Amino acid sequence: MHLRAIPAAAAFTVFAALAAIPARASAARDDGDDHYVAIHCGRVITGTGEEKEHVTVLVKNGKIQAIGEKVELPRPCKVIDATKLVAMPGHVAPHSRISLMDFPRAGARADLKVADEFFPAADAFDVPLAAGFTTLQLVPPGAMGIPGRAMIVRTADVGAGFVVEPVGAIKANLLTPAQDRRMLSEALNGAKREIEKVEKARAEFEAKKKAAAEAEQKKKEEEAKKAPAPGTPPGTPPGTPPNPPPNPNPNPQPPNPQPKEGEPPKPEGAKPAEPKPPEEFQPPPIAPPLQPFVDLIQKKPGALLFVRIGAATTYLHFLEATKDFEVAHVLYADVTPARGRPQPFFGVPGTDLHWAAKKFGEKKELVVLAPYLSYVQGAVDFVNVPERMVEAGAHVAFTPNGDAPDEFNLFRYNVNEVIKGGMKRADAIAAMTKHAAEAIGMQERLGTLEVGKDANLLLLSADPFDVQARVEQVVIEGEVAWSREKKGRS
Amino acid sequence: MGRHLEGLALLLALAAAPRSPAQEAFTDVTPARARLDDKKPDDKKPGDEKKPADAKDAKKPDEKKAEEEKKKKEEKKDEWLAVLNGDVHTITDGVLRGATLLAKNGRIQAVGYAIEVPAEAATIDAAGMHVYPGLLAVNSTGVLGGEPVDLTTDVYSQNMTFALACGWTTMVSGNSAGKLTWGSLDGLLLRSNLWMRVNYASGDERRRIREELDAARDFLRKRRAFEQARASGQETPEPKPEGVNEAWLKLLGGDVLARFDVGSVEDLRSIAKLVTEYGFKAVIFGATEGWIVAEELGRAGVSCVITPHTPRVADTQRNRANGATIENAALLWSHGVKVAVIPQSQRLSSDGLLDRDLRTPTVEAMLAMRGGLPHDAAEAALTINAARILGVDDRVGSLEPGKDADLIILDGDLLAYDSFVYYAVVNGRLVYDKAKEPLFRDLRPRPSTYKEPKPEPPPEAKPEPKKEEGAGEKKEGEGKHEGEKKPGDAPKDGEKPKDGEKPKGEPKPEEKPKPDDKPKPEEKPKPDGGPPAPKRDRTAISSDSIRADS
Repeated sequence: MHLRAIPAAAAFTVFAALAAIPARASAARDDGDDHYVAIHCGRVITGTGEEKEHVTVLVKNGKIQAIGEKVELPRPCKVIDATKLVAMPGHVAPHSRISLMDFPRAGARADLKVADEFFPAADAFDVPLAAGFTTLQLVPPGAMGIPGRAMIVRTADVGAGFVVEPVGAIKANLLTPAQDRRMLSEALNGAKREIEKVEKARAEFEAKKKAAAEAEQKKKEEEAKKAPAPGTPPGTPPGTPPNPPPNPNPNPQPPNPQPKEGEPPKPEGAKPAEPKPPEEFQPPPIAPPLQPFVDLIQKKPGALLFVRIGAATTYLHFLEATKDFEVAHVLYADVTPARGRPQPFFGVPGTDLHWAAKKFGEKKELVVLAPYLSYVQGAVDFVNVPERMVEAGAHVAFTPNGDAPDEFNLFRYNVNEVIKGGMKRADAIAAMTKHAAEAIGMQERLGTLEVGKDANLLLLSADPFDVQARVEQVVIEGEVAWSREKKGRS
Repeated sequence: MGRHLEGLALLLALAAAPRSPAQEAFTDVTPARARLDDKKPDDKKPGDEKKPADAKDAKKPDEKKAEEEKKKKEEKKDEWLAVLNGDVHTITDGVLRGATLLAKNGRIQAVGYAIEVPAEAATIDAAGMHVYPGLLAVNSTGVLGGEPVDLTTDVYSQNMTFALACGWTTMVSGNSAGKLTWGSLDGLLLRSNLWMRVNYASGDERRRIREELDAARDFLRKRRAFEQARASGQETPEPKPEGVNEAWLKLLGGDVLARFDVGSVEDLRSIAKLVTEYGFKAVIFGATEGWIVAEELGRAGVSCVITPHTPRVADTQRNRANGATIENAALLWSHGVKVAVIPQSQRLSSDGLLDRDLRTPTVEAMLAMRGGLPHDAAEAALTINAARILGVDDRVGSLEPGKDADLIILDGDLLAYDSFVYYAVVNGRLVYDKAKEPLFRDLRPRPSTYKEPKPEPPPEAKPEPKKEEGAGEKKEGEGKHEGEKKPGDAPKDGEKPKDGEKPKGEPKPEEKPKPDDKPKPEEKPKPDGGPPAPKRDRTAISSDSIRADS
């Protein structure tokens, strides 16, 4: 994270901004009218693999309404003239910790959330914003265990605050398999046991209900039989059993079963005499750190495991840990400076995932990588890990390598180096757009410029991989969030 | 704080929870392993991981069965690897010239002649080359991880490739033996809890150890008496191991190997005495002056891991033999001591002097030969003897059917100064190919003869492979295993010529006489009843790459 000297007076501004967030939320669209923005672009890289000239993007209330050469504009409609610019989907960084402090945590704590630690300054995300990033996934800290759940933020508050998704993917570290692999597999197995526990309780409940219903039925039948008989005492209220005949079963199933062990005791009804409505099944409580894993195993929408793997070996450990489970997951490999290199290459970032490229490809993994070339371990040969991954059939998403300002500022330049190293331009664009959105589980809303998606755009002065290309404007949900003309946030 | 405690409690609960299918699968036995286990059900090691899994299996047999069924469905095809036409040095069973070694699912299926190689098998043509079991490093640093080895080893590391290129396939790191399964975690851990270090140096320590051993021995005797009494129907109170050190019980029970790190003759003599008296398994690392007390060590039945070339000048002031000699290995060996050899420094470097580290595994063994150790014993010191000392000789250390297919293929004799490792195979998988790795690629290159596995032929008409003259083929448990899935057809037309078809009189230019070689029992076995043999395929090797001096 970059450090910026904050004058004492600015502190007030920060707090003012913080206080203002809830007040300003959705202020822009409070009037009830539809809010239209049209962006006339010279060229559009949609992120779906297409690149079109002279396209108008029509935005309605922050979502893309139409995109094409001839789009009828409603009135009133704000128009952004970008006919000399190149538009592409705003960059998404799947791994960032900007504005967050390190809260120590240990073990498997999937119940903790980054959102609880999120107190951003108004200018917290200015660096990525100016570099063309519109969305960040803020991940929990630490390199061990399961530190909690990520959140998704936009880099500028355009009317509804920073938060896009307060509770995102579960982050799991696998850098030190000796501890982490066991932790991950135990979390998954624990969740499996929780699911089994609930299913068992449900089965028991159903069985009891059925038994109770049968008993009731039997009683009714008996009553029906005995009704004409003179032995029945007259004032018996309906529903209460008559003097039952000697029952062969000494412990008849009560119609209202006692709460089972592990089940929260149900509150006694105020009027116990009245016939109760059919009981609802109350599942036994699930341990909070395991609940997200239960969701993962049950494939709940939005459940995603964001796994930080180290070297290629740790991926094998991930495969072992998740052998019996089918969990939606994204792999993130940080590119750490490799050790033991000869002098001129010392400290150059790199990863050795290419060794296992075939395995990544077989599983069609989505791998989040920094856009860097790597060195072969122990040698000074370059290897283009992102390219090798794509060749093998895996998907790659690019993310800046850490939160240093230059990682954001030189993001497209770094991608350019990877393209120069042999990666196909289309693959690189997909890695910056579509797959980056997939990597944070936001493919429904972000990543490409298509009808219905969020209007997060980046307007560049030239092709994104042109070294001289500058960010002219950043549009977040239809609003100009940053522009070069104004030298900053709008 | 409370939350942290909660988390801790949860973790503890998770740890105590029953083993999951995932864990089970991880420690589950492969069919091939099961086969070995069938053979020797009691041969479980103390550190054997499978025990808990087995215990659980016993609990839920039907569940396990269903799981197995499912697994069988998902089971991958058999993986075959055939090393053709090489001179197979089995170590335990002589040398088979121009023989075939066939591995199935990581295990050696057959070694010998006239072995049908399934058409889908991956092959390495080792014509003119020498096939040895992979070498064992009884100690190492920097290749495998720490404890636990299977969770801390980087299986894609350059050091692992380097170690394979030097000929090692199994290494000890800390107290565990692991294999160099490059690119895979399967079968990495060979055995954990190899030994118990014992410090028997000072007088106080010695007294304490002897007292504790006495107590342990007394207890064991009492327990045996109790068991005998109970067997004969008497009611006696069961003795309780109060105040008895558990470790010594294990040691005396033969479950654990004691490791001593000593070199001086006084220490060696006292250890020999101790081991003779109490009768437990022991290995001595160092044993520099072992040659002086070789007879006592041999009688005590201890093993030695030595570095033959350890300079220690004799102290002439002393009135007895002392110091190091290059004959140490030979003298120990001649007195029946199991000898394994390791280089002086157990790391891997590219800048060390010759024989100083793991880069040159064989130099120390060759120095031992200079001191009089026979060629066979020197080979064994790097392979089977090391495996025996570590208690893993049922898996590695020699090329026998049923053992793991861990082998190296060299262009010359293992104990020649100028032999290169061209291929290394671990668990039936090619993990090092000199022609493809940048390490030694440019030195004396030969084109790779490795051929990827071919897609499986249609399942009909798959005769069992005939093994007419396989050396030391495993008899038991074999048929059952083959029943599951038969090897493929006989090689189709255009396949590699079959193994063992080397005509009798064919010259072997690269074979050099070994004066100190014991006569090999199967030096010249020939497929008598076999079909007329075509010429051995040598096209894969260019003539100029065969060394002139051999």
